[in-house]
Amino acid sequence: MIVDDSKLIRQRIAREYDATTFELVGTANNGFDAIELFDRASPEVVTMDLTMPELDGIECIEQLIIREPSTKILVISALNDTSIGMEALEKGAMGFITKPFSGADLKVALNEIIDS
Amino acid sequence: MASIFGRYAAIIATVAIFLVLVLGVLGNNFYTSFQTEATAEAVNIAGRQRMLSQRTAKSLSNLNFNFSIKADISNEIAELKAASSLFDRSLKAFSEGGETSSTKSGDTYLEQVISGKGRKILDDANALWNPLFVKLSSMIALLQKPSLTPEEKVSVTRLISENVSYASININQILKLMNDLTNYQEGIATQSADRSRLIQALGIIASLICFAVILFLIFGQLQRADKRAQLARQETKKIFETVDQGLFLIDREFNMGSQHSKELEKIFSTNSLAGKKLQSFISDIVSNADLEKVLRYIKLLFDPHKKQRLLRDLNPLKKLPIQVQENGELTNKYLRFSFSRVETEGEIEGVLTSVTDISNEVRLENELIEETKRNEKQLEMIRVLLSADATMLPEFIKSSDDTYEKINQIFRDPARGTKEFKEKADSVLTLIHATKGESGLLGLSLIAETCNDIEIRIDQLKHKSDISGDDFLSLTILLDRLISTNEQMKSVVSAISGYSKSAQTANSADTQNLIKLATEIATRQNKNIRFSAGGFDLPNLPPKLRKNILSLASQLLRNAISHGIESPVQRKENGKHEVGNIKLALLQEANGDLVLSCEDDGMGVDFEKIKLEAVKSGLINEDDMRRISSKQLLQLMLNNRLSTRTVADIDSGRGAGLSVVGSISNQLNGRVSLQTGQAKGSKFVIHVPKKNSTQSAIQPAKENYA
Amino acid sequence: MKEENLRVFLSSIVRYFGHTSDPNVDVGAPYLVDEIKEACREYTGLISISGEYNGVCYFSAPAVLLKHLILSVGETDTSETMMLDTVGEVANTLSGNARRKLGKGFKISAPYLSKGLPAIETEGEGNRIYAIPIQWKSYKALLGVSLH
Repeated sequence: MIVDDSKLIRQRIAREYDATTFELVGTANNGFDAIELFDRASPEVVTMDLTMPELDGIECIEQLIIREPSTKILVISALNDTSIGMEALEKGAMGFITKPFSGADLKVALNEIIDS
Repeated sequence: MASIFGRYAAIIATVAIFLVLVLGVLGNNFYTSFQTEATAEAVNIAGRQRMLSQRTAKSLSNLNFNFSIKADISNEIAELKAASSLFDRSLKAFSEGGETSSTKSGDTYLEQVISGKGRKILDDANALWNPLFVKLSSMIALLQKPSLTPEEKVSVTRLISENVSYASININQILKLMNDLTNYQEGIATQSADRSRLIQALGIIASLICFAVILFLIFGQLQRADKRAQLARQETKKIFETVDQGLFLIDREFNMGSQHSKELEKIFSTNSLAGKKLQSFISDIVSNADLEKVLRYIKLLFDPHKKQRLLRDLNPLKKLPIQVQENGELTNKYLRFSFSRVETEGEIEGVLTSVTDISNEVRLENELIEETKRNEKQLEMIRVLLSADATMLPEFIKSSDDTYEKINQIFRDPARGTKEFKEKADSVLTLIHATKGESGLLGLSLIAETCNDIEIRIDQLKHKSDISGDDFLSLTILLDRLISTNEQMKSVVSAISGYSKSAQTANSADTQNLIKLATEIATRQNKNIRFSAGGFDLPNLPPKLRKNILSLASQLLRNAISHGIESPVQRKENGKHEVGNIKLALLQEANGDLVLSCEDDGMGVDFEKIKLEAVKSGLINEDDMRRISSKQLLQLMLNNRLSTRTVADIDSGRGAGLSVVGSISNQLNGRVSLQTGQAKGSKFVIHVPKKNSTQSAIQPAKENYA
Repeated sequence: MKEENLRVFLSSIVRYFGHTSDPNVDVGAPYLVDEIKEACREYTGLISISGEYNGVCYFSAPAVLLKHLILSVGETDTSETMMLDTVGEVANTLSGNARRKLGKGFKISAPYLSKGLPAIETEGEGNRIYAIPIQWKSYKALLGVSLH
């Protein structure tokens, strides 16, 4: 599941992930939609933007982890403030990569996430 | 696990042997003590047999005596019975193995004596004892009867005397045999005690050897392990001493490990780092907010659920600016902290932290950024130069050059003391301010910024109480930069104007005149045109021919502007660009023929209108009008004065234009062709053969053409 | 040209004179010249710089200053050779200090000594020389630096 408020980024992630390993259950452009989609499709892996309208990434991560603590969340954010990134990890995300990212970056990160 | 077992296999085996030995000795001890007890009891019982044989004999003799005097014999009977039966029981126990009364209490088991010597003793004893015991038993049985028959009385008396005589003969032999038995048993006891001592001694010796082997092995192992550990320590130490990074370990509680690299001490200029809290030694160089982030980051690293690789982007100390004292001067440096987990069997034991001085990398990076910025500014300058007013730029460069020269001279003028230097600065300020204004006006922001820097510097200077020449250092450097900028601009401008100049020099005077003419006509007609003329610089053209070609060209040009190109408004309405294009070109073909062409993107020639005009002028009738081809019509236009313009002006309107073209063309044996399309423009091409020079001199047409 | 690099030269000349009998040196406002000969005194000691940097640095002084300088260090020989030797030494000191600050990439030549206008021309367009007037006692000397 891809959560990002930018359509461009959503498309980019959807284009770059390794389709032999993952299956895209859907994308969401804000936290509320993400939770709704999560309840419906219960994905194992989630890529999560942090700054989003409605419900931001941090709160969304919290909600997803409450629903399913084993959810593997990869934060993809352009934020310069590392403390928000750290908060996301403290709330239960597994990893963090910075935007802009290369296709290879994303693949490596996603493989790392599921390798546990 | 397997490897550990392998490494210690020898030790483990030896320890096992040792344990077996010790247990063996203990078991032997236990068995021996049990055995000793048993043999001791056998010795005692054998001794008792001696006593019993004596007692049997004695009580038998007492009984015989009392019987003969008819005294009471009950005691003697009981005594005899007890002694003889115990003796018998014990003897049987010795002979066949079995229970007998212990010398202490209860019964005890005796092993059957089987060895030759013992057996012989027992066989002898049995042979002597058994007949006696049988007769004693029957005697006792009769004596215990309350009343005896006379036969029995006789029998008893006989039995007594028989027994007494048997006993008196044999009891001593029995006693001797029992004595031998006792000795024999004692011999066995001594023997088994000796054997057990021997076993014990051997066991102890073996255990001791074993123990020694164990010690030897363990000691060797320890020594080897120590050696390895020491080597490892030395290696680590060497690494820590020589590595050019600050390296240290932190545990979960942010305590530093006992070892760290030498470089770390250099970086933090302290050598008491071991065991300290991370917070305590980086708090000096890291802001509180960053410190908090670092601790949070390390905590995340200790969380096995998080992916180490996917944490790197969050490292808060990727580029940490610090200030250090170096040779007495404060210098700015940059450090990079990198953190990585140290795992042992899947457990995160600590975080290895490396600190690298990345000042050089950062400096290079910054220089690159600066360089890029400068390049961008230069590019911007070129853009500005290209768009700036061509007449103003050289003027600006010239005037600013003068200004810079003046400023340099002001710098150069001797001065001493703060007052004179301040005056110097003031005069520079006035000059530079003007340049700043001008450059700003032209959009030369690079120059304007540098001028501004100078103004700021001078302002700072003026507030200083004591000024000397070296305060001007930065000003001179900025002036140098301004001069360099001007030099760059000059080279750019000259490159550009060199380009246009080369076009200009190629533009012969003829072309210039054509351009001038086109500009004049277009201005008069309120038309916007872009005009280009090419090929008019053909050398070796006979002057007369050149004049005629130019006449043709100017006529075609007039025609194109007046009739071809629409007014800007009209062009816009027709969806064309306001500016019309006219291209005049002269070409010399390989055979020497000349080709003059004039092309415009105007409205094109309206043949219908011209036909009407021709009818009106009486050149053709209406029948002709319907049949006439455009080629014929062109000839008509070239040979006659025809105009579609209603109002005459100096450029056209008198119908002379094309007829002039026609007449000159004819004189030159030229051939005129026309391509045109409604609203698409027209292209006149005049082909003039080389042979024209043989023709007679040109006779100008009589018509009064413009 | 970076100000800090220029200051390296300037401070080393100030320090040089600081060791003489009269440690006071007046520094004038630096100005720019295109050629060495535009900013020269009687005697000139010049070092050319190559490697990471390119350019020259020189010390140019009138005879009287050099004579005074020689005498102030207790020498008595004020011959022309001695004066040339002295400008060379100043130039050497300058470049040596600069090398220490600017690193190994800063390569220096043996000093070129001249009386009168030096026959050396700086190469390359647009690389102006910073001429910094130095006044020691009442004598006016010049420090010239061109570095790029």
